[in-house]
Amino acid sequence: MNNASASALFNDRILPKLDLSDLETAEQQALLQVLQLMNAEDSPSYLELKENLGNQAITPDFSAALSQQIYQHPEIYADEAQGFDWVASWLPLLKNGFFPDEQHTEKLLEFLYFGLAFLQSEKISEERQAQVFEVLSVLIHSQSEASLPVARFLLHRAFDLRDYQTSHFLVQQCLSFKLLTETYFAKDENEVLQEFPFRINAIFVEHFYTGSWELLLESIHQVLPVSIPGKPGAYEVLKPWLSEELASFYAANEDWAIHAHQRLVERVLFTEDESFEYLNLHTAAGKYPLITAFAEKEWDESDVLLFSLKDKNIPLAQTEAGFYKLQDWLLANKGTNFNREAFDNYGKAVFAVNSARELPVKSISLWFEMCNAAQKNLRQKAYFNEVFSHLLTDWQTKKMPVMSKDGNAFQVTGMYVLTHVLGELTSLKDGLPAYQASGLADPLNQFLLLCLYDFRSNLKEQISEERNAVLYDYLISIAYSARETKPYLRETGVQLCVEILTTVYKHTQTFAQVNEIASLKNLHSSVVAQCEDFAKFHYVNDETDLTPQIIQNWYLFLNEYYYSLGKEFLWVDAVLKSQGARLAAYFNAEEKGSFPDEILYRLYKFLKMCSKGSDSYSELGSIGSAIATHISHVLHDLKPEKLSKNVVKILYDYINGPEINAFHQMQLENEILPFYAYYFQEEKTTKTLSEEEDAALEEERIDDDVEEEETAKEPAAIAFDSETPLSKEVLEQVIVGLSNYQNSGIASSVYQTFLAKNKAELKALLEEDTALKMNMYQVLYLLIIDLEAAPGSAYEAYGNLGRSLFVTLVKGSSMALSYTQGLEMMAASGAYPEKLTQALQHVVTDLNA
Amino acid sequence: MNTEEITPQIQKQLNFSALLLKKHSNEVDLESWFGFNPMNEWHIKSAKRLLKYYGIHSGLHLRSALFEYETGMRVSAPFEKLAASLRLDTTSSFETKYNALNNVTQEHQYTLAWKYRFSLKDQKLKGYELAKYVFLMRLGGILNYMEFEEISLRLSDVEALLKNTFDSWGAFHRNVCIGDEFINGRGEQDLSSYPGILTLWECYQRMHINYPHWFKEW
Repeated sequence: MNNASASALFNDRILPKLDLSDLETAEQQALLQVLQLMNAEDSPSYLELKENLGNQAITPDFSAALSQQIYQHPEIYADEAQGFDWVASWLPLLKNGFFPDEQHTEKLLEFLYFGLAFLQSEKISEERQAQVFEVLSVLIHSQSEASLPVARFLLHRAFDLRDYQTSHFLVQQCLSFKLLTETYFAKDENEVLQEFPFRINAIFVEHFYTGSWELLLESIHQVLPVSIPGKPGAYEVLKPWLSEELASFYAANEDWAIHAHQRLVERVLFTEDESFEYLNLHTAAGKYPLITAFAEKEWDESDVLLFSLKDKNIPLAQTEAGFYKLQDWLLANKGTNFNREAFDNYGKAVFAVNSARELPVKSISLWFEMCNAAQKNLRQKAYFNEVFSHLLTDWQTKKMPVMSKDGNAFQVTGMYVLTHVLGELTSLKDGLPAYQASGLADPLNQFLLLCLYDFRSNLKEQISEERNAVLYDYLISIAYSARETKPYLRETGVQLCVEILTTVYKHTQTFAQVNEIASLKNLHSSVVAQCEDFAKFHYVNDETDLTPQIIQNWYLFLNEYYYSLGKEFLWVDAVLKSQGARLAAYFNAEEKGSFPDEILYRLYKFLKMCSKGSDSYSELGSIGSAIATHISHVLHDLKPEKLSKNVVKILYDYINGPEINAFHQMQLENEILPFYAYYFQEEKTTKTLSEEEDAALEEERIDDDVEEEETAKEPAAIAFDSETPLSKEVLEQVIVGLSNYQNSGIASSVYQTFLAKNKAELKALLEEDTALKMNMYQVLYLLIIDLEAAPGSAYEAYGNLGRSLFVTLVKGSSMALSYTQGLEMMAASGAYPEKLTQALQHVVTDLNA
Repeated sequence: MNTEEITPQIQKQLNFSALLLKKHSNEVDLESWFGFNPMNEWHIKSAKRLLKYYGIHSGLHLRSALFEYETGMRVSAPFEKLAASLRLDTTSSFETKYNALNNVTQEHQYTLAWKYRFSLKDQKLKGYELAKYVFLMRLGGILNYMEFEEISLRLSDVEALLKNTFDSWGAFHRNVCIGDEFINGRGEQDLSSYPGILTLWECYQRMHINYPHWFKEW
């Protein structure tokens, strides 16, 4: 019916006006086709033309003149319904390449302009409407003079918001008939029709906006926020046009970029569309002008929103400035912006990164600001701690993260963080105590530890005395807090603390610090060795000079060493084993009053306690041995006048008393004698010894090795024959004789027969007198371990005597165990020749048998 | 953890701290190693709080504190210093000194030192100090600052020291109470404002009721 009405229109209104007279044959041929297309085969004109042309094969020419005759009928447009019917009827002609010329296109556009209201109304059928737009589509996309004018008309009308309804209507038609897409045709400077793409560039601007980019952008910006939520709008029309040239224009004109931000935000708010393509426009060189423009403005919520919509693949160098703007925004208003919806809904996307590499380095200060101890907003703390947990991924290897700086990978260093990032934010002195309270569980403290660790070698020089104390407190407190954290945190955390402390306070003069650092060993097994080495470095270091303070500490901590059964302050053991001679030399060189007395008295006290407790606590046995060794070292080198008479008496009495362990007695006896001789035997010798021997005693003080020999001369020789009864006095002679066997000139067999004969009496006597028993045991013991009496040496017989007698007497007695231990130690020490070692082992076996 | 057996001997040694422990918390079990229950989260919390209050964060701090109590640096020394300065005073010259004071704590300490300036000349406040010693050790044990072996080794030395200084539980406990008063001020009973908080004297009385067999044989 429509076709019928269209051809009726053609037949009634146009056919009668056709003037065939001026037409050339080629034009006639074209007209003939027109008539065929318009279903006017039975019209007189058609018949006439058919007759004129006959069956000649002539190429039709749809000339301008003919076009005038066919299209130029403005009177039809007087009636809108008729006008659109008429336009709709063009389709077959256009498809055949018979286009209206430029002149008529203008008439057509005039008609359309005024007919737009009618076109959208219900007065026109949908079918006719569709036909009209089909015609327009063909006009635009065909190589015709009408192409550009029609396209321009539609574009301007569609983007003209003064008539919103029309604009909306046209936008929808543009989209459904793909009117303003792909290409259009326009005449070039040679008046030749060329095909151009619908893409924004200089030519496009020339064609549609008289060469003014500003007009173009004004128009685009106007339509950006306009459309119905969820439905396509003008943005969809212009989306395919977006181009690198447009991006270049924005790049060169930042004001426009910032203006675009405004429009894009409105678009997000009004139409709920994120305009991804527009926001992330980029130039041929890869610059994203709308993103970089964020760096140049004062931020508000809308910028947070837009910035978060940026493409994730934009190079970090271009987003960094924006990121810092976002950071500034977050830090403004005392950080309350975090609670805004804009941040919740959008801003968080910016922080959704996969690694520290994507975070700009100065964002560290944001972390410290948002999560420090003063912040009470737990949601905020949890959020940023989560974001910045990427900085701690290398926690276990103790490495600082790699972050982004000017878009490049940047290895963060402790120095950088402490001086550049936190330097301005918070000084160590004021900041650290605040962080201290939250302990190692706080990720900020973990990061701070990493920084301090990384910076540890230079830390000492960088901080003042006052801050030094603050840092120390901080590290110690963090280390302790590690006890309450997860194992992986604890292990590395404690290691970091210890590492920093032992580096920074390596040469501390404060022993409280030394002790405290060393005691961190109990926090984790992995730091034990380091802590102990640290303490040893301070307490047992031959490089540093001894001070009264160090010495005092040695013996103060003997108390803790003793009570902890040797588990704490292990360096005390090293002091006991290696520092005796050094201490003696120190006392010999300087006048220290009663200091040596106090120390030896203290050692004596602990030796006594150890011997007493060694039954219940086996550890005390070895501590006691170490103390005894230490005392013997000290006494060996100490000048006798350095000790007071009282202390010498106490020591002498103890060593010769019943309480002492035999092994200790053996070690100490020879060392105390010169002291004893110095104070007490002098008196005695004036009475009993000749002048000559007195002089010998003088020598003793200098060379105490001689001492043994001298005292041995004291007893007069007693004949040990079968007649002599065994008495206490006689036994004392035996003991002296045995201890001085090399000089006595008595054969070992004399003793052997004598003692073998009086075996029973000997045992009874020894049971009566403990002191005598101890002396007897001791002399035999010394004989056993004497190199001169070893098997194969000159006094082997004495050795044999000693061994057999020792086994007979000691076996089964209460002393057996400690002697066995002593002998085992000697045998295991490797200090003796093989034969003697074997002999010792033999004695042990016999004792144990 | 609580595996070590408490022998009657050790129980007796632990009882040196019974009074102080009871004062700090009524919930404690005097017949356990630590008083506080290491399985009970709240008990551990109160133990931690107490240790923090006493400045003890590790075994090192604990041992230093024990050392200071054992040697009398903490309590006996200041007491003795004050008492010694008052020994030559007459009642009137003491009153002049006392009236010149303007701080309650000091007034209180002067009163006590005056009262006991002669009677505690030898014992000083050793009883209180060693009670505190055992008390802190028990607290420290909860957090594993010290092991059982060390605790029991130290306990037996404490016992020996106390046996040398006091001749009865009564004398010892009196000393503990005086020491506590000297350090913490007069423990006046004010149940209206602090219900449930007992004075040391009161704890002492109650303990005799609850544990009639304890505190008899010294």
